[in-house]
Amino acid sequence: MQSDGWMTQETVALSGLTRRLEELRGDGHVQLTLMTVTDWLEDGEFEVSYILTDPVLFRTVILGVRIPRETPELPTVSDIWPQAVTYEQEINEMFGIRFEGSPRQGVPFILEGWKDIPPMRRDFDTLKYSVEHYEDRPGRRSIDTRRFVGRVSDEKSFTDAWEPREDDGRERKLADMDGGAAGSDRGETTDE
Amino acid sequence: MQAVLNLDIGYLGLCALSVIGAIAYGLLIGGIIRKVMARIQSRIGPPVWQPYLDVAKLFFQRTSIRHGMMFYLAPVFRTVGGIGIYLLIPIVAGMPGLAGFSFNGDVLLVIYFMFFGCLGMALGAGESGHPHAIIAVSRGLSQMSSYELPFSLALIALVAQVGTFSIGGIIEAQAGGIGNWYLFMNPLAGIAGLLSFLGMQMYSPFNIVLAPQEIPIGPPTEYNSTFLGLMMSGRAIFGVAKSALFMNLFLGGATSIPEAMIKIFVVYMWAVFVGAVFPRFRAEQSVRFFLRWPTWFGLAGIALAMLMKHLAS
Amino acid sequence: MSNDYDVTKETHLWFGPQHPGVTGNMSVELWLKGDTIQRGITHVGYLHRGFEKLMERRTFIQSFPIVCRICVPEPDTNEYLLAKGLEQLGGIYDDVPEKARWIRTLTLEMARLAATLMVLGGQVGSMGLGPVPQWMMTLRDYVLDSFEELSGHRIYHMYIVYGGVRRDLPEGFEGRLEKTLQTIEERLPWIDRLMFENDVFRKRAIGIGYVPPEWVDEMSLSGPIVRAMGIPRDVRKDYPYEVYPELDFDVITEEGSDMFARARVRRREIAQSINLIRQMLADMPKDGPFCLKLPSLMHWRIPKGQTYVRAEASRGEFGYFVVTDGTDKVRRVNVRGPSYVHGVSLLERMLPGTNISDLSSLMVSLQTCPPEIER
Repeated sequence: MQSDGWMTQETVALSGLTRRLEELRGDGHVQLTLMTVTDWLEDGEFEVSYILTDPVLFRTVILGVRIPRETPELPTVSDIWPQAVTYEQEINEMFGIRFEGSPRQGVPFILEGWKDIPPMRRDFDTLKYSVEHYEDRPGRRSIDTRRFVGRVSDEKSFTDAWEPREDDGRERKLADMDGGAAGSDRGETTDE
Repeated sequence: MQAVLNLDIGYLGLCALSVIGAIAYGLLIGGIIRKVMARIQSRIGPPVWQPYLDVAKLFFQRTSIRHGMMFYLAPVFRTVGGIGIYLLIPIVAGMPGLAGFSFNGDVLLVIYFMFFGCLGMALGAGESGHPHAIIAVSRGLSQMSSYELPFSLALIALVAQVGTFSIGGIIEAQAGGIGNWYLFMNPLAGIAGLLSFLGMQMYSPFNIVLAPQEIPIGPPTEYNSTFLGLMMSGRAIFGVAKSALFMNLFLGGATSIPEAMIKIFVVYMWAVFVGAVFPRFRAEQSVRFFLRWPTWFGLAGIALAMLMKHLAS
Repeated sequence: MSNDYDVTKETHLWFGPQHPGVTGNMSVELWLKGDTIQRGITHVGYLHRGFEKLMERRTFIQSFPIVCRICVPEPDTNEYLLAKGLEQLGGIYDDVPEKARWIRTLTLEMARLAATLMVLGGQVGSMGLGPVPQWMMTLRDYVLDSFEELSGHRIYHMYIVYGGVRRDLPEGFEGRLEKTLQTIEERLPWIDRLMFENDVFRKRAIGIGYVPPEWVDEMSLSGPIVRAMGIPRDVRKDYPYEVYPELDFDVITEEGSDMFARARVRRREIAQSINLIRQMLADMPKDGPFCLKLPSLMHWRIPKGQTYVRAEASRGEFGYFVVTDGTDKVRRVNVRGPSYVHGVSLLERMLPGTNISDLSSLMVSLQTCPPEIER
């Protein structure tokens, strides 16, 4: 009953990418609606997705191409769709994927003076970055909501959880970081 | 030149008092304008005395910006231009301190003083080095030369009809009832004057110099603290002086202080109400506007003046 | 374009980021000859908060307070799209109750109304006409009051969540919303009079900011920009979602493709939104659940998958590309805001030959919104 047009998903090998895009474009998928990247860290691959739209028959194709994380390079599509320059510029900045022949590669789009690894990659640790680059306000009281979970009904543990902690939040966060293997989100819940 | 020769301390004191009064009145009008605009826009608006507070606050502030001598002098030029033009114009005929240093030919001097303030501003803004200010100066100068054309034409018609270059003489010629006001005696030249007055007051659609959304906010971009306060007072007295000039030329002058205040207020509000309902012209559209209909009206006004003079003789 | 002020030297000018004429925290670097722009580059990055990265580290329900911050004037589209993407991937989209669909559509349309009111006021506001923007902001405030009543918040509602909506309509909400709509309708003729019949506005808007129709497919433009070219393209009609198929409306088009045509489209869309809201208030089912029983907030895991969902915002096509990987967090969310194309590629392409006076009104006309460019 609810339809989103006719959406198909397909993947293509890197060698056939340009040909497939041209094919789809000749088939009526003339609009490049979105170009984006998913980082499959455990597979060691990036998946670049091109979302193409047919504005006449209302069809949508999500065309994915997997490329290795070690050599992230792709041909540009900015000669077909001019606005892809911006997408490619941003992906280049945020994921470190290089687009052959695209203008504005390496030109900062959002970040300024960025020295670290590209920030949208999965292995970029935001908590570590913020601990290294920013300082806690002295006297800052950390309220970790995870301490409430499962025992909010208990009056005493509720007041315990709100007890201001004496230790320095900065050290605690660093300790958390060392201890937590996969949980990179720990202790950051109150930061934003 | 009689008044100029009769200078004494008391007279100067009266003049100083009248300048201060004019600045205060200009600021009050500014406050009323903000209130009126707010009401048009269904807002409550600031209190009418807000400009006094603004100016007082600005005068108590100091700046550490260094741009050069001309940058500092520009607000002074502007204010001096305002005071000069104000002192030349008789506000209330025959009242010491408000009668002005009227003499034959002072109309021309007044026009020069109007240019003088703006030129000083232009030099100062140029030295501030801000590109917005420079764009605004080029806009302002081109707009100024374009609205001075219909204004001068209206003035020529007026002078031709009255036969004197003195503001006092022009006022005397209009004495004796509303029908003698030049606005009704020669409506064509009056319309040219009214339209060019819109350009002079720089409310929209002719506020291309300040143009907050385009080149914020033009020449005063780099100004702050005392300089901005000085410019605000300069603008206040300039507005009063221009309205008074218009009142003298086209609305028959004033014989008492309340009459002068009312007439100045009405003339001021004419520009404000037009500004309330129109967006801003582009720079070249504004220039073209003044060179089209107001100029034709001015020329027709001269023709009408000649005709009337011919018929009268 | 007049070359009255033609000089050989180019002026280098930053238009923003601190500039009253710029729509938000962005800047355009310009090279001018006289008053005419030779070329320009859009710069963003003053507002980057890394929403997409933040969402990768939060559970699904924790993402909702984040997404609504992507668009200040119209946050509901973001909430709806994230909810829809997660529902589709989690396989509960078809179970969303009927009443929730109606309330969602009502919210989306109210958000469109509020945003359109604001941008139409901004259109003349950028040209220095004071009253219209102020009236429009007042009217928008009345709509925000309705939102406050509905969700408890004025700007960021966090009202649409996966499974439905957060709360039912309050008692007597229809009557009060109807009153708001009447207030807006009473003021609209004033706005027509002061804006569309205003000679100065017509002079400045007609023929300025022309977008050629062949750029539409090339750059995948959407929204009022396309509809002002006479091309009836609207996500609500083309990819019908929620209860839009059951409502009676036509896609509004105008001819001319300039700033005036776009303003006309927006003006008529205000009337359209009011009409749609009235239809929804009349046809909405009065009873029934407004939300599914939500999957566990802390432990809902969505199987691996990806989807692209879209909706019509006031600016054009808003899209969310959502990837999940079987955990309780999203793998990747990419927000496709219409301004990403309109504010960067299209604006840069339109800049050469534009007069500097028209730049801010052009940006309002394209409705560039920096938060959705940098996300």
